[in-house]
Amino acid sequence: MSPEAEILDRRILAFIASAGASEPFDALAADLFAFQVANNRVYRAYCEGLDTRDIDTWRDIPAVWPVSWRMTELCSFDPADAVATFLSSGTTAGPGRDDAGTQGRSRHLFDTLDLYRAALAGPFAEAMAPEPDRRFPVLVLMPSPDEQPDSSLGFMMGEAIARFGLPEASGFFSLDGRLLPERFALAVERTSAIGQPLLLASTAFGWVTLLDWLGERRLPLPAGSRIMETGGYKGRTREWSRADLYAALSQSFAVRENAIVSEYGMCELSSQFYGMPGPSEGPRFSGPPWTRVLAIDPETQQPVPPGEPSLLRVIDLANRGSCIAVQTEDLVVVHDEQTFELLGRAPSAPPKGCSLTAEDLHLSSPEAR
Amino acid sequence: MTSPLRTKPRDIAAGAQRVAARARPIASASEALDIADLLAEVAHRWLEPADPIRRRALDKLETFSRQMWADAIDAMFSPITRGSLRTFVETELADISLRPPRVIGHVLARNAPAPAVQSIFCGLLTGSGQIVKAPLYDRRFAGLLVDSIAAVSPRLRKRMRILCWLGSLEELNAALAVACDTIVAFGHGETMESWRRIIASANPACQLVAHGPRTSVEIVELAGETNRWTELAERIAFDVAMYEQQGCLSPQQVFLCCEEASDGHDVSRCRGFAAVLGDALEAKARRWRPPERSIWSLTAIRRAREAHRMGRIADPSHGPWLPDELCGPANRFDWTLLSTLGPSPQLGPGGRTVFLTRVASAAAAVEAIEPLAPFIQGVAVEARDATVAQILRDRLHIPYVCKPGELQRPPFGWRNDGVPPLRSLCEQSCKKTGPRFREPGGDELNSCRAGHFGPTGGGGPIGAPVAGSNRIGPGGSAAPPTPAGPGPAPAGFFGVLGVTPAKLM
Repeated sequence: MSPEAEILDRRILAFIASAGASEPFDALAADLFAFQVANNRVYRAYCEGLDTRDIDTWRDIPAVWPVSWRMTELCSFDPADAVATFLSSGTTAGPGRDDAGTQGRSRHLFDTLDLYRAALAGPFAEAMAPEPDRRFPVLVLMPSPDEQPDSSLGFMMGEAIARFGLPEASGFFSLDGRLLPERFALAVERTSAIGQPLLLASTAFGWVTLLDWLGERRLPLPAGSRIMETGGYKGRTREWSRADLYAALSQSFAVRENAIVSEYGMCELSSQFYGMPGPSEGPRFSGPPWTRVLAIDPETQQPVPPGEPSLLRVIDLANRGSCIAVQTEDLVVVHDEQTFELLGRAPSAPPKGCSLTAEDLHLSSPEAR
Repeated sequence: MTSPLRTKPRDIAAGAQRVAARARPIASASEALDIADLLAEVAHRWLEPADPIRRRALDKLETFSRQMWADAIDAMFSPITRGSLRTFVETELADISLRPPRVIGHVLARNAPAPAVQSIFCGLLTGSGQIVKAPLYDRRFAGLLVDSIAAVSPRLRKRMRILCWLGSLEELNAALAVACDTIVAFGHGETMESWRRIIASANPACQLVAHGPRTSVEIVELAGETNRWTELAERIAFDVAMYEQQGCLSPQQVFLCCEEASDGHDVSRCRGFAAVLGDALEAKARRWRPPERSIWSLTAIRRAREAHRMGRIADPSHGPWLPDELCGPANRFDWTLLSTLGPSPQLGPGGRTVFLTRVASAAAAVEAIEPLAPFIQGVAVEARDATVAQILRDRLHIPYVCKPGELQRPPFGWRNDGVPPLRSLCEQSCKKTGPRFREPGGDELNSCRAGHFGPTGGGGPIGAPVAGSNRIGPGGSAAPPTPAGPGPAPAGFFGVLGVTPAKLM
């Protein structure tokens, strides 16, 4: 790792440890952006014509779009030095996408995971720990990091178990990439019998799988338990509305809906956002102090007025090795610099009269049946 | 028109009964000719600047800009003359046993007025009753079309009932299937699948003529002088921008045939033409103001632009050859040009987005589009070699082959999906095998079910356009019957879209 990178990492770790009190956000963001432009060929070319000294605020930092993460290696170090690579699930790059150049999944390379670990711990504990300063059972219905070493979500949950989980009562429930709802349910039942609050975690897809398996069966959780839900079921099974999913989880596990916490993360990010169900359909997600959010007009790439739905852009200081500014295709309403409400994700293709789309073409293939 | 939110199955049944009572299915071609004369008068009135219905249309229609509507109306109705209609009727109805349905249902697609005109006019020519299901968010044009028919012939008007409901309301769709002998449907693949399923369950005796989504391309030679480029680019821009690129005759890709493409390095000629085409699209954007696009449409365009830009950054030497400044206004999506790396067929995000593909010759372009041929509705060709158009018609079975600038102005009666539009209605008969179409005194041409889009059902081949149908286009000629289907996608086909051949097939 270069000396510049080491210095930046120390500053970022201090910023995370102090919850943003160590220095002004804009100063660290500007220095990080300048470092990335200097060390990341792709990002430098992307920002061509922009003088990094002119960046006064994080709002002015250019963000790269998801398609860029699929086409290039956006890293500010020699890719040969990567210690980990996380890949996107593929739900954002399916055959329905009619953009040129979307070959497969996004790749996020890391030359160290120290920042990732530091960024995940505090917010996770705050959102998920039933009781502070005490280990708790963490049962995860998704593939483990051993099974899917390229999954950022798997890595995150592995770290969460290592840091917060009760070792003898925590684990992943998946085999060869296949979820094991029956074993998960058995573990929930047995662990609940101890009486200690527990944390259950899965993707929305995993929860739907479990709920289908459970049918009418109930698995009441001890008081104080939490349920974590994260995205990842779009296009893979029948889609539930979030409200329906939460109601079903609440009923099956006999918990109040405010015990269910949504996690928002992306392979392209190093930090996570957590949200409780809000008054409307989408939960309101909050990010840690080392993140900022904006809603961007996709045509002008300029911020939209507060309260207006548009596409989420995230500034993540923990993304030192890649790109500080990540443009998403998620439709949100941004409430303040660290809070947004998730409304949906860009569909594969906008409707177009009787003109053929890639999605139509996919539909016509036998595999789509 | 009943309020779309209040339409009930009984409204559809009652409407069908009413139009069936007034229907007079034709027993001879001469009866259709009488109707043709009335429809020619309808078309003539639409072309009159002072016609009250035309003026009302330009005042009220919203989907496109006022000027685009004015030009679209001209493009739609100018080919409909007394002479062209009579020739069409005589050709289509020659040597067949007329068995028109009592009631025809027309399921119109949003933002696609031209197919609506042809479908409804052909329905009226059969003398049958017509139930028109107008698109929920785009129903005014259908209403005005009916008004214009009423102005010329109240008798014809009484054979029509226009209704509107949300396409996902299957109970109402099933009611239409029950009420009709034939349904002519336009729309996307899922919509066609849905109609096929509903008809099979609600009324298997009902014939479905399904027009699924298609795309179009242009092939232009850039050899020789550049002094014609401006005029050529203007014609291409017309094809692209008309109907906001939402029709099956809207080109999404233009093949630039230029010998320089064969060495892979000298792109100056293609770049030069791209600049001229950009100017033409910009001028078109001023004449036809683009509508406010949805955030999803804008996102799709941005995604495509970013992919193009990142492709150039990732591989400056061999990436996309069109520089960013020629791809369109930076922060305005009135139009977009994107260059492709190889000759693979491309489907874009719409919003006047065109993929430019360099090929060495028109023959190379034909070879490139062949894998997509079953999904191609039209090809506009500007090439010195006349055999290119011939190959497109005869070997690739492209339903409509024309010159640039004519894609959006097909002659009345052109064979959408290769289906003879009037004969497919008048010859509806055997439900198990589907009717067979014959050229006058000639060979059997195709099954009407072959116009179906999609992989299953109906007895037609997967997504197959009608094989060997009679092409109506400049210089069109009857093609021999050939079984056609999409076939397996070759390696590289849509590779850049993230659709691997394995996924396709």
